[in-house]
Order: sequence, then C-alpha cells, then structure tokens
Amino acid sequence: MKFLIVDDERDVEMLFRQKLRREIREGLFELEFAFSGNEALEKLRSHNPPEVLYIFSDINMPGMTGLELLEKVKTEFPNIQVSMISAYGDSENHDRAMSSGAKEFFTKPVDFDTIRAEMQQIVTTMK
Amino acid sequence: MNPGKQIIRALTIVLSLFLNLAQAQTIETQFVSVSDGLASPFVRDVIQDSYGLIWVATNNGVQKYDGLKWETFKNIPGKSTSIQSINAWGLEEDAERNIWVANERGVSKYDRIRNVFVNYDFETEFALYEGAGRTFNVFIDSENRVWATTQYVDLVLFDPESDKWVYPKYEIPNIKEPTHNGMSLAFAEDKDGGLWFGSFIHGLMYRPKNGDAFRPAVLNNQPASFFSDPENSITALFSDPSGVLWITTLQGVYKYYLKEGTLNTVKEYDFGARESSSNWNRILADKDGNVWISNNNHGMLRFEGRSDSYQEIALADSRRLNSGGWDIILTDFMIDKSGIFWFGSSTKGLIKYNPVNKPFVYFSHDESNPNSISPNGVYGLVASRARPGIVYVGTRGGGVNAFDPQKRTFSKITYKSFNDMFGGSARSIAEDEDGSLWVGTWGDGLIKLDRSFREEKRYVYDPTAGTGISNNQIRVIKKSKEGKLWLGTNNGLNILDPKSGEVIRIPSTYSRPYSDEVIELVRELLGSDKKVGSIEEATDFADETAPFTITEPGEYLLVCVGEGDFRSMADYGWLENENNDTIANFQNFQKSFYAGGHAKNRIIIEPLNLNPGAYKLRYRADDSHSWDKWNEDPPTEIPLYGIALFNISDKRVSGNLSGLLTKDSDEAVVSGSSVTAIEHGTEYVWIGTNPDGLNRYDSKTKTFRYYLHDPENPNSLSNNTITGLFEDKNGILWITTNVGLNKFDPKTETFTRYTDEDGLPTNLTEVIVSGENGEMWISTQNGLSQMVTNEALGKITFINYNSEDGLGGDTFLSLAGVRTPDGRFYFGGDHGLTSFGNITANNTPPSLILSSFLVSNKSIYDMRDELDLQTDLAQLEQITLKHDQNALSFEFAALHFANPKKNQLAHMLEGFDADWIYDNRNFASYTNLEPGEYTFKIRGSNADGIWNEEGKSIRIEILPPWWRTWWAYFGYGLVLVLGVFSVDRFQRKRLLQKEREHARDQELKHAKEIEVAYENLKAAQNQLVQQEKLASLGQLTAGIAHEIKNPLNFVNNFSDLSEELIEELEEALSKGDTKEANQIAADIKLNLQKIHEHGSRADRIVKSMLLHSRGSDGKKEPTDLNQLLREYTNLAFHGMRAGKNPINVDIQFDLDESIKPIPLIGEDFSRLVVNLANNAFDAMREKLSKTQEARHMMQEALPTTVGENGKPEYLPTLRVSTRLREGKVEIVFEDNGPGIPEEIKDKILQPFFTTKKGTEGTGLGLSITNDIIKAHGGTLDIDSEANKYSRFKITLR
Repeated sequence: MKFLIVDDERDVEMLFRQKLRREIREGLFELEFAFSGNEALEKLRSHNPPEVLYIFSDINMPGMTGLELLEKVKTEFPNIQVSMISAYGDSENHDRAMSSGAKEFFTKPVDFDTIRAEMQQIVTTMK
Repeated sequence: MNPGKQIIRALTIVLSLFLNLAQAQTIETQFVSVSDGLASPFVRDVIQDSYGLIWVATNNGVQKYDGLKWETFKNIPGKSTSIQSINAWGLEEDAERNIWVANERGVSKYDRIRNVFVNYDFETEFALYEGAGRTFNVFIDSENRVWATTQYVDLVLFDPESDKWVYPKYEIPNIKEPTHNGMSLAFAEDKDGGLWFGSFIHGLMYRPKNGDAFRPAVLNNQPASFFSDPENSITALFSDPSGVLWITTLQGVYKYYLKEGTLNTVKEYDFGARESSSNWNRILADKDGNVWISNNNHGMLRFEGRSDSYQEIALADSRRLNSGGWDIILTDFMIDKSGIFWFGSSTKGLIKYNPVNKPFVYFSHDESNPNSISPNGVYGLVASRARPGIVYVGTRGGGVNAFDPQKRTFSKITYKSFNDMFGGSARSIAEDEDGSLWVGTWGDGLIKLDRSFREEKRYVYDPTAGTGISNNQIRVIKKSKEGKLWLGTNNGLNILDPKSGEVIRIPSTYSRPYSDEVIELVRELLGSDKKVGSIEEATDFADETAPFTITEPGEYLLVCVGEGDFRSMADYGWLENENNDTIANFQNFQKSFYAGGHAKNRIIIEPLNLNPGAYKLRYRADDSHSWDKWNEDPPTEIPLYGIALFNISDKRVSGNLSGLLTKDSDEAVVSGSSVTAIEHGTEYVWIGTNPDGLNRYDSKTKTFRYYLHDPENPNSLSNNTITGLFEDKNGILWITTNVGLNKFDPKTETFTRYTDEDGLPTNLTEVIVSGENGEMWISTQNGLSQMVTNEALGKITFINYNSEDGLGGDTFLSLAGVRTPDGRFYFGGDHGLTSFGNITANNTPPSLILSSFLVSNKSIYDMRDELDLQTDLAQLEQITLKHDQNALSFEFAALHFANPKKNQLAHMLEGFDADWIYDNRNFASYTNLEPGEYTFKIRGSNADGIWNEEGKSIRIEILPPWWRTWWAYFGYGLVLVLGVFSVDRFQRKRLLQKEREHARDQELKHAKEIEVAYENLKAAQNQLVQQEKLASLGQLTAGIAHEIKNPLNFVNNFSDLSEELIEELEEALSKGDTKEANQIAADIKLNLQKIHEHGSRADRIVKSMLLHSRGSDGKKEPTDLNQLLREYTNLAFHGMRAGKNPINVDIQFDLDESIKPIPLIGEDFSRLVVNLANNAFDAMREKLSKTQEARHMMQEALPTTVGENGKPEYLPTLRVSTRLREGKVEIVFEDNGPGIPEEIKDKILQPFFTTKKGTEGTGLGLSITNDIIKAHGGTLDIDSEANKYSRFKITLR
C-alpha cells in the first residue's frame, strides 16, 4: 500500500522512515517522498493507474502550495485521497483544505500515532 | 582366540551392524557456535552447575553461559588469580559450588565467592617435564574427594589439608612398586561407594569404599591384560543404578559385573579404532533410565534402558564418511536439568538436542509440483464434515484447493471468473451436509458447487434490481441453525435462503432509507402550504434561526436533513420554544436515515404535538459540505438541506404517516456495511464490521445491539475494526481486532483486552481457534501465538511462534484458521498453509539466577571488603547499604536452554514498584532510592510458558544518612525549641525600639509625600514609552518564535526517535545480535547529526536577531539596509500570522541592490520597520473584514455576484522598496489598505493619537518612528488615497 508524502523539508523523509520503520519492515506500508508539488504530480503521472493511493502534503511550500496541489490531485486523480499537514493550525487553512476535498488535517508537530492509525485504517479497508 | 570363535564373532558383528544400520535414527539438533559467542569450535567438556548455568571447556578458555550471555575465563599473563591455561579439557563442580577445571597444565579451581582461580601446576607438583601437566578430567566422589585423570601421571588425588596433589595407592599382584607414569581418562563411582578408573597401563582398577588401594578388577572371562592392551584402553566408565559398570574402549562397549567378575561384550567396532581421537567417549543415563553413549565419530548409541539392545543415533547435519564414521566428532555430552542434551564436538562447537520437538508443517506453492498449494497465499479455510479429514483451502486466484492430509496433495477446484480481483479466488467457503460447497468470491459473488464441484448456481449483485445480494465481494459465509446462509459482504449483511434463493438484505445504519411512501409525502408537504417554518439550503458555517408562531395546537412533522457519521453530526438542526428550551434535537446519528448520495447525508423525520406559541427553528452547519457546496455526492431524497416544520393535523396525512414511520424505525439495522465476521452463538448472532464495531443480533426480538470502541472507557471494545469472532463453550465471545484481542462476557457486558503489552507479538490479530483442552491459538500478522493461562500467577501470557520456529511465514490472514475433528490446527497466510498437531511443552521450569549486581555502577564483587560479603552473589540473600549507595542495577536470567530467546522474565522491587513488571528484560535499574527496606524479586518462564512460580529474591536495606536518623531528628527538635526562645526575646527588644523611631519618621514622611507624587507622574510617562517599545519587541519575538519552531520541531522529533532506537539497540545487544545493533547505531548517528543541523539553524536565527538588537546605545553602525528591511518585514509578517486574526498578505520587495551599507542605529531602525509593517497589516485587515461583510450582504441579495472559486476579491498587498536618488536613500512602505482620511493626516504623527478602538494601540508607534527618522537626519513623507493606498516614504542622507 503506497503512500506519498510531500514536504519541502528533506529531513521529513528520514523522520517518517524511522518512525514507521516497523510497519515498513513488515511490508504494511510503502513510502514515497516528493519535495514539491510539481515533483509529486510527476510521480503520480509516472504510472497508470498511479501506484500511490494516499497522499500527505504540507501546506506551506514554495512554488505550488499544498492547497494548490490538493485541487490538482482532486481533478486529475479523484480516487486518490489527500490529507494535509501544516504548521499553521488556523481555521482559514483548515477550512480551505476541507472544502477543497481534503480527507483529514494534521498540525505540526506531527503526532505519529495518529498518522499511523490513519494509515492502518486505510490499509485495512482495502483488504 | 580360535578361528571358530572368530568367525562366530565376526558374524555376530556383521549381523548386529546390519540390524542396527537399518534402524539408525536421525535427531534434529541446533548448533551453538562461535558466532553465538562460543569461544572455540573445539569444545572438550560441557556441564551444568547447581545454579543451572552451563560451563564449557574449550581450547580457547572456559566459558559460563546463561542462555543469552557468555562470560569467558582465560589465562592473563601476570595475573596469578586467572586460570593457568587457556587450554581446558574437563570440568566438575564441587559441593561448595566451586568449579574445578582440568587443563593443559594441571588443575585449576574457580572460587566463586572470591571470584579467583587457585591453580595447581602439575609440572611443579609432580616434577614433570614441561608440557607434561596435561590433565583430562576432574571427578568428585560422594565424599567430596577430588580426583584427576592425566596424560602422564595416571590418576591423582587432591589432599585439601596440605593443599597438594598426591598419588593414590596402587596394589598390583606381582609388581612391587607399580608405576604411576601413564595415561588415564575415565573414572566412576558405583552405588556402593566403590571407585573405578581406567589406567592405560594397568587396565581397569577398583577400590572398594573405605579401601586403602586400587587393585586391578578381576576378569574371570577375559585375559587380565584385556584393558592394558594399548589397542583397547578404557575411554569412559559408567556405573548404572543396578551396579553394572559400563565400559567403552578404543574397540568396543562392555559391561562388567563386579560380583561375578565377568565382562560382557555389548558391541565391538571394526573401523577406525586406532585414531587418537577415538579416545572421546562418554556414557550417561537419561531421565527415563536409557543409557546413551557418545561415541566419538561413530555418532551416538541409545540403549533400551540398561539392556544390551541399542539404536544408532545420527545427528541430522552430519554425513557418513567412507571410513564408516560420521564427519562430526563428539567429544563429550551431558543432559541438563530440563532434559536437553548438550554435545561438545571437535569442530562444530556445541550441539543442542531437545527431545521435545515442535512439529510445525507448512505448505507453500512449489512450481515443480502440480499437487502443491496454489500460489499467492490462503484466504478461506474450512474443515470438511462430509469428507472427514479433507480441508478446503480458499486461494487468491486458484479457486478452491482440497487438501488431503494423508497424501499431502492439493487438488484444484476451479470455476469461471469474470470480475474477481484475483481471477478466481475463494475468500470464504461453507459446506452443506451433502458435501456440496458454497464459495464466496472476491468480485464474482456467491457460487454454489455440487458434490462433484461443478458449478450449480451463481448469485451476483445486480445494481439495477433492488433484490439479490448487495455486493460481489463475499468475505464470510456462516450457516445458521435454520440452514440459512448469512453472508458478510463489503457492502452489507445478507441472509440467503438456499431453498428459495431469496435474499434478505439487512440494511446498516448508514444505508437504510425511509420508504418511498414517506419520502413522497414529505416532498408533497415541502411544496404545499402546510409548511409552517423552515431553514432551507443551509450553507457553510450556517448558524440560522427561523422563528415562527402557531396558533392552533395539533400534530406537526419535523424534517431535518444534515451531515454526519457514527462519531458525530456535523450539520444538524433543532427546535426551540419561546424560552429557548430545545424541544426536539437531531444530533443523534443512530436515529438518522440515509438521505441519498454520499453515506454521510442524513435525514430524520419526526412527528410531534405542539401547542400554540412562538418557536424557533435552529440549524447549525460546519464547513465543507452544504447547500451547493457539496464536497461529495449531495442528498437526493428531498430538495431540502436544513430543517422544516409542517402542519399535519389533517388526519388523513398524519395517520398514514405515523404508521409508515413506525415501520421504518423498527427495522433492524447493522452498525456498518463492511462485514468482516459472523458467529452464530448459542443465544445471539454476533456480527463484526470494519470499522463500525460489534453487533449482537437477537433473533427472538429481531433487534441489534451495538458495541463500539470508546476511547474514554477502558471497558469497551479496543478497536472498531474486527477481524474475527469466536464464541467458546462457556459463552464467552473472543474478538480479534486491529488493536489486540478482546474477551467479552455477554452476561456482564465486560471487555478484557490483550495487546502487545501483554505479550502478543503484534496488535494486528486475525483469527482465534480453540483446542480440545481449552488452549487458544491466535494467528496474527506477526506469527502465531498460544494463549496460556497460569492459574497460580493469575496471569495470562502468550507464547509466540514465528517463521524461525518453522511456521513458513509470519503474515496470517483473517478468517483463515480451523481445527479439524482429529485435533490438527490449520492457519492460512501469505505464504500458504501452516498446520500442526498438539504441541508438547517442555515442562521443566527454568531456574533463576541473579548474575550481576551493581551499586552506583560498581560491581558488588569489587566491593567485597567494603560490604563484608561472605557468599557468592548467586546465594546472596540480604545486603545492607549506605544511603548514598542508592543507585542499583541488576542483571538476571532464567536458565532454560530449549529456546533461551523465548524465555520470559519479570521483576519487581518491592518497596518501589507497585507490581511485577513483565517486560522480559534481563536487567533492571533503580536510582535515587530513599532509605528503607526493599526486596528485589525475579520470576521467569521457559520458552513453552512454564513459569518458575517460586521466584528468587534478595533483601536490600538502605540505611538513612546520619542527618535522617531518629537521633538527628531529636537534635533538630532541640535546636528548634532553643531557636524559638531566642527569637522571641530578640523580637521583644526590637519592638520597643521601633516605637520610638516611628514617631520621628511620621514628620519626615509628610514632606516626602509631595516630592514622591511629582516623581510618580514623570515615571508614568516613561512607562508608556517603554510599553510601546515592549509591544514591538513582543511582536518581534512572536516572529522569531515562529521561525525557530520549525527547526526545534525537528530537534524534538529526532531526539524522540533516537530514544526509541536506543531501546531497540539495548534489546538487540542483549540478544547478542551485533549486526542489527550496528544498523541501529548508524541510524542513531544520523539522527544526532540532524539534531545538530537543526539546532545550529535555530542558533543562527537567534544569533542574527541578537546581532541586530545590540548597539542600543545610540551608536550608528554601517548596516545593510535591504537585508534589514527584508528580515524585519518578514518577522513582522510571521508575528502577525502567529497572532490573533492573521490575514494573508502579498509582500513584495523592490530593493535597489546597489545601495551600500548605511550608518544606522540597528535596534531602533528595525523597530521602525516592524512598526510600519504592522500598521499596514492592521489597516488592511480592517479593509478585508469590511469587504467580506459587504460581499456577504450582496450574496444574499444577488447570489450570482460571488467571485469565481470563492476567491476573495481583495488581496492585501504591502510593497517595500528602496532607491538611491541624487545621493539620498529612499525607503517606501506602500499598502493597498483603506488609506488615511484627509482630516487625520497631520494628526497621526502626534503622540497618543490612534484610530484603534479601546486598548488596541498605544498611539505612540508613528510618533516614535518619526523620532527615529529625525535621529538619523532623515525625513518622513506620508501620501494616501482613500480606499486605494497608503504610502510612507523615508528619505535618508
């Protein structure tokens, strides 16, 4: 079950891979990383149908913001679900995200237990 | 021997060889090698001491092993208390638990209490040549005499009084002074205290109990020199309980009968007799009294009791050589307390044999074998009743396999597939009495196969019809007692009557709609004049009120449409009366029905009686899904999103309606639509869903009861994703979920949870199956687990098996677990099918040992004198420590060697820990212990879950420091009392003095008061100026705080991670898994680098801020103007974003890079930048909210004037620019806010003038800004156009 994580901070990849190392080792999750909205879209388009089924994206990124990415994904890949991760927990961002079709909204610092639970639930529904 | 006898002998040998070869049995063994920590692959002896520890003698030192850790003893040149040689040959333990080692230079004794070796160098003891001190074995007889067999001095004896070794007396007929120069290996004591040894020179020697000398044994039927023949030297001796002496020599195996003096030949070899390594033999009896002989390179012989008949035992990994022997040469062996055999070998280290075996068998797909199981793993599993023994296995892509356990073949049953995800799978299987099968597929619906497995009928989901099954993915099929098939699908629960083919679809709360008639009626009412009041087309963030009055009492109908799910309702309405009391509330999802479109669209219809009066309809909505702004499919049933009230006093309407509504509400519904498990219990039917918890269906009342996970209530289901259900014979329901196992008692409605913290290998549990004797097996995504109930300890523990134990794989699947009537278990997983019969456990509990005790990091051995220790740590029962010796760490072990990694451990420090800690760690540490009495206790179990219930403990007393002892407290009391006295006297004196002074002061005070009042006024003025400074500093700080937040988050996250990894590292180290440990260490290193990186990042930010805040002494320093503008504008922006009411502002910089550094007062100038920026933000915020209000009002009047995509039409912008013009520097701050009105343009620079209401602003900002610019010799120009822009231009020389 492939998940894509989009964030302009590169260290986020190390963090995710280590926090979820058990699940990755057991083969439950497969993680891919993109460091910009454009890179994320490229990755999605490189397979048909796309291998990724779920995306976590930061909102504050230079170039294409997370919200812009969300709208593009919803248009081009309506089957892929997108959840937002943001340092700004204000209601405006939250509402924009939810009304654009985001599934969930997480604030930084990320609580990995919540993320993990969300990912496990998604995996189980697919079985 | 005469030729005749020789022939007979030869024939007997050949015959016995033939018979025995035909029956050679192979045993499965485990190797303990150098990579596990063993010092050398050449093990010469192995024993188990009285504590349960294993000792090994190798040519590279002596080792002590507790199952996990090795302690090695080697010769350390220069240290006389170390063992005298690294080359050890034999081991023995005496009554005081000291270990005696026979080694290359003689004998060494390990004194456990003092932790030193006492060496006896035989070269000196017996005046031998260099290198002639080699000693092979040490023996201790029943009177605690210590004997040793050697290479050059035959048998010697230790004299404890003189602390020297001596020759025992020999008496040999016809020899005056029998020599002691020879080799001997074997020694034994018989049940009567008689001593025996085998001398290579003198043969078999015997000394009766209390005898004075050794004499050659009488051999009545053999020549006297039988054993002195160098070709037939004695290699091992054993006296069995009946007094028969077993002897092995280079040539064979014999039994000697003392009374008769006769020797019987049991076996004679004819191969490889003359190799020097043929000296390795050992004879022992096992727990059942069978005699075993380890036979050098001839493998093992196992005798039937003490009879002469034996069987050859071969080690599984050994090969037979052409010479007739095996390639593994056994040197010695022993049987430990739990019945495990330990063999030493010359090249393969230690070999372990556990007679209790674990027969896991697994079947995986094999390309070359057409009768092997289909690939891709096992799905459904059913034990056949019509064809007992056969197990039907559902596969992913291969249809159904029928497994025949006798032939071990899988025959394939296939059927056509059209839409199946795997191209022909069987997710669930059920069998009829006549042997025909029902197969639930993953996309092709339900297929009925007849007895010969030909397709009879197929039930497929038809989206156009309203009947038939509701989904094509059939996950579970369970037959009820009445013969109906209950189907759990991915979209609903169905009940199929196989006779009529009729399907009843049980709706879920999500999916049940109101009947068509009711909906029709409501639609009519919507368009009619019976509508009394309504809130329709509710939008995002609606918080609406619709008041109305009614004049006639009667029946009314309340209809509400909203959004929500099991967790809560997001959009909902309610009805209030004139006192604002809520008289009808639609916040309960469970009462709601499906309103069409997406499952979260909900509708509730409720009739009620109302009296005349004023009422209010209320509605509240959150964001994301509302009228015309649907983020999923909108509701389709009725064109209402909100709440409405209708008058239905018309009897025709009301009577009809209430009847229909009652019918709809009474319908029984399941909690969720994805059904994962069904169990027909004795009283109820249990249905599990994902992720909507557990349902209990009562067929008598036709109602459902729901059990869901409640995070606030520990007595609830642990998780709403259920993978399996099982009701045991006591009526208890066992539920496997994604968060462990739940035990539910339906009578008391209590849940007991078991998770990985209780010992399960993972929380992802899949199936639970019970055995005949009440044992429970659980399959998980990390292997199988057996649940063991220990009544004595009142504890439930889990014994876990994974692919290392031979399961074949670790990922097992839900619903794939059965037990056949003959008692075999079958579990299916990604790897295929795993099966096993009863698992016999090794019933010996482990012995427990405390192996290390550190006080403030110093080992207790190093503190012997300080603490006055009299015994070895393992026997220590009590110890007293000082108050500062209060950091204790313990290491301990459960000694059982069947599978030491699976031994479980628990510990507790009574007086500190509240209860036993079952964490399986073999260490524990406690710091900062208060003075007091403690008891440290440990408990352990072997790999089969058999616990040593007695446990082991040590009492520890920590004395209080002198200042906390009782007499110290007494002293304090005394001091306190004295203190009180003296203070009292002192106080009295002072009081008198004070009165006098007081009078004088009063006069002076009046004069001062006037002066003080004047000073206060001046101070207040200063304070206000300071406040303004602080305010801007505060905003700066907010900005800085935000910038730093990001790197600090990383520092925290990576630190947490590293902590977790350190724990894993400790585990890996304690298991001795250095490879894993190194990997983890590398990860930790990387993390620490990242922490450093981000810490430095934060540091840099702070540094640059500090840099700018210095120099507040009014001195001008050359500063990079552009950088300062950028930094502080951004800081102000972030500060604003992090505060109340943040807004989005487009900040544009248009900076002339050619401007060189200018002399500026850094602190002041940066404050100026922040000030101007914040003013701009505040102004633009006002304009933004005004614009939004206006837009909202316009929207109501004319819905089409909303901007495209809901984008705001007003985008606040701040433009900061710099220019070099005619030698002067110009800085401009321009915003597109509301502008500055004409009338206040010249007032804004005045101190205390502000347009902000209340306490929002001090009014000093611009005045200070102006002061700063003047201090730099510059000018400020303000320019603005109402509602368009405001521009602040600063010109500096």
